[in-house]
Amino acid sequence: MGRRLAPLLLLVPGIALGQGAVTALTSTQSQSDLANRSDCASTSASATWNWTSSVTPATGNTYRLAAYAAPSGSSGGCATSAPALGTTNAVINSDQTATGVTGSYSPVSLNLMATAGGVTSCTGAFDVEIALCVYIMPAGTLVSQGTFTFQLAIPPAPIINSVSPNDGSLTVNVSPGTTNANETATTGVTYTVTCAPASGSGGSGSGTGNAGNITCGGLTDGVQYTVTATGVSAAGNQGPVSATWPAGQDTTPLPFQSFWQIYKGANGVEAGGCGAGGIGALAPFGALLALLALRRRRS
Amino acid sequence: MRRLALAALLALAAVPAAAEVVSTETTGPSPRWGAFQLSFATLEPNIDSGTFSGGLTNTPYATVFGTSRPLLTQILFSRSAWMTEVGTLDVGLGIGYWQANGKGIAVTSSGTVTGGSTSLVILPLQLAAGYRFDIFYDQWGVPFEPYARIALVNDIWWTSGQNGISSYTNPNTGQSSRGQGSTYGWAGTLGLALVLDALDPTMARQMDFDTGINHTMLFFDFTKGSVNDFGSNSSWQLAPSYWMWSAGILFVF
Repeated sequence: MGRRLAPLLLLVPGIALGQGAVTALTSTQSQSDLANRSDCASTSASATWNWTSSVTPATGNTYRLAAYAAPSGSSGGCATSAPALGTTNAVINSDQTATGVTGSYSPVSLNLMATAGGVTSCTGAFDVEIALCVYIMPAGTLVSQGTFTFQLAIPPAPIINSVSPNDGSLTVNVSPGTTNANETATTGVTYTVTCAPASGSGGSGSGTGNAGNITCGGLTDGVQYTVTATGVSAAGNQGPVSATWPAGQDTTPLPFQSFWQIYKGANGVEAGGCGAGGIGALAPFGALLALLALRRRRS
Repeated sequence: MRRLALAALLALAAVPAAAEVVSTETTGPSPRWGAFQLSFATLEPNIDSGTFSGGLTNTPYATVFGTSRPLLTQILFSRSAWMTEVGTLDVGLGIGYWQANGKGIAVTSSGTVTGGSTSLVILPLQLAAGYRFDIFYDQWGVPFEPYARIALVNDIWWTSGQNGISSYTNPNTGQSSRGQGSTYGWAGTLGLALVLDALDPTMARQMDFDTGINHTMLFFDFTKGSVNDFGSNSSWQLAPSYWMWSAGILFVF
């Protein structure tokens, strides 16, 4: 194998370095290389590992899957040689028959990956990145590696800056809260606003979006609502709930009339319309241009 | 300092000149074809000049949008149809964009409440003919050129509420109308342009050599008009009640 493959290895830098790629796709969110607190703690959540080996296996070779703690933001945390089966870093207790340079295995417990990767608590304040490692056995050589992130950070409670009413909805202006020792997520955070009837009657509603204006829809006109918001990290970790925006006139959806309805309601004479819509109004200008073009052609 | 000021104003067009400086002493101005201008103004349509009764307000525009005057941005692309030593007659087409945003009104047992969002958008099209007295600068060396322009205006407009284009159904007649349409009118403009070439004639000639732009001018003008389908009794007035000022930049090429 060595002599035949050597020229090819030199042509492909990644392979020449002995590093194939391994990825893990979670079962719960179908996210690649990312899991949240719930996945981390779950005994049922799992991942499918897919890898490409930098070495073509010989008959009788097997692959061994392992995970190691890696410094945040870095890769290459794999040990240079395979761990023994049954030890912490080996995420499954048996080797997989190597039938080619690509391989796949499922299920690999996310909780075991977290444990093997050095995650001591699934409710930690900061994300943990671990190294995914595939070794070819019996040589124990590292043939593929990648990274996987347990996103454990949660966003701080958001701040509701203002609420304004619409017809059947409220517009809620939300901004990120201030991070603290336990709530550190700031990037990729989305927000969910929840509107609940203050008096118990009327339908409740919610809306999701980025920081800024978020529409809380599906509400009943004339009903006063209380409004709360919460942040959700990119991996789905929900942070604490914001302070409640109290019920009042600004949280009461109403059937607001638009400018046109106000104008026409006051017996404004403009009738609107234009048979073909606004584009139809361009017709005279188009006709003029056509006339000019025709004149130029004749001359 | 003056050179720097002009260089900043004409930077975009003058960039090639820096790389290829060629003497323009022996070359005259390039042939002229037309002009392009970008202008800014503030517009408050005189919609409230209509007669109103029986509604929430007799001043619907001011009630919803207030008395501020949103920005109107316009461009005008013209062909020079007649050029003499005295001046140039330009004929062109223009388009602009203007939008006012406001709050809707709801009636409650305790009175009226504002909320929701509503807007009025106008795209003013114009077919314009203008005359600019080039003689002031070209013959007399005075860097100011007065001009006058008349235009046939067609304002394409639409009004929106929370759920898109607004509609209204008269509760007495059941007749419905959508808040969109177009309104014709006219406009007349008087203005004065400052010929920037005068600040640095050498650089202006170089720019003409490099880009074909004969003159660059800053202008300020006043426009008076009427956009109500020429007095139709079923149209509102979209022109302002005042002489609308406008400022911008003009390229003659």
